[in-house]
Amino acid sequence: MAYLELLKRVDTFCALRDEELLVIDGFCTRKKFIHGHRLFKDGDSAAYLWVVEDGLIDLRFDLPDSDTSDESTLSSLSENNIIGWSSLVPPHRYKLSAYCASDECTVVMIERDRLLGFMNDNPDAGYKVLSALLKVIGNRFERLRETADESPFSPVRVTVHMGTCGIAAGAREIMKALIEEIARSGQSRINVSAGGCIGRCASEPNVTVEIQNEKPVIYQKMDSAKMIRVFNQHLISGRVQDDLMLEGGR
Amino acid sequence: MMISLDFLKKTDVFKDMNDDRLRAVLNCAELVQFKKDERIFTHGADATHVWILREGAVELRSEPSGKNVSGQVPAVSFTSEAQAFGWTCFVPPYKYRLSGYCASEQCKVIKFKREDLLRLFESDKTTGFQVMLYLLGAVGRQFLQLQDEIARKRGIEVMSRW
Repeated sequence: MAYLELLKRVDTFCALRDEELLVIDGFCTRKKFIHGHRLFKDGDSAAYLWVVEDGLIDLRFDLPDSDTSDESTLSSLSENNIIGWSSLVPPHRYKLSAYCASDECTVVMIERDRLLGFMNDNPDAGYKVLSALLKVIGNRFERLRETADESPFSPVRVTVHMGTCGIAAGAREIMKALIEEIARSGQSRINVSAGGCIGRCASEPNVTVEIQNEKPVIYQKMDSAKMIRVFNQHLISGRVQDDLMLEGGR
Repeated sequence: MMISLDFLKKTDVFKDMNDDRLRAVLNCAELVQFKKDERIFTHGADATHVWILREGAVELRSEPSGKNVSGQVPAVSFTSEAQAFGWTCFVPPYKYRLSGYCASEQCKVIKFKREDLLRLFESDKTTGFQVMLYLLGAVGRQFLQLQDEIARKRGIEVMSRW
């Protein structure tokens, strides 16, 4: 029963009954990664469907003879999201590579063969899982299409500093508020990433805003309401919020 | 021209189903006919039906309303029977991603109303599961193609900075 509560929070599985979830619970293994570590590589045989339990995972394309970086991130996925859905369909290979983008990530790996076997034997559960998964993929497809023309060098970059000190001070809530505000506004030119501690722990949670051709601004002691204000006033309207600023700007 | 079980068995999506299930699918089917250049469905419109080509040719065209969007699937001609299209009626935002036109002198197309199929899937989850698994592969391939295209484009931009 170690994974039951998590599975209930995941869109793909939340329609299942407890007894069905308990079977899938038996296919799960938890694993932790630290920042920069790779969960799987583009082209690997896809033996697992993954659920992000904690932290942020970047899906990146690999470049020849080069270390991975934020610039090759196509999407970032946070808690309760599924990754590696291509494990369920032929040729059962991962597309893109997955990296831990926060200080630490906890993921749950679901054995593909046992999950597919369970769905085949229990088409009622299989239908519910795949219907929900198709909705997730459809929504991601639309988001991907909207950002198809986006440059990796977006004119606006926001970094939420998610070191241990930042997370303890509430950085995760700030990241969630920011992502929701971006989704609500339909803005697709804002690049959001999770960064590490910047050595200013007393002023956490810190958020850095970088707008092309302007000096970066670091905001301090942020919370969700302040993040929404910075989003609307600074990112959208270009007005630096001096009273929240730790350094930078002008 | 009738729609037969044997014809449904030729389609990728229904080929593995037994006759009882195929008969239930057949109850949701309607054969319709179009003349050359007649539009069957419109890019961006609510996707209400899935279609299977029975006879003739259908061309799928990208016609976003006055907007040039990257990643559009190029026009694809369906020249062989039994190919299915319009699956986006099961995937958010439930809009057609292309327009469909009759590309031969006339064409015959089998149409399945989304709501009828959903009712069938709810009453027979085995059929629902099989169709959803097929659909995951079909939609997934389009998703991965677009992802590859974006990765290639961005990769070139990143490398050009080195």
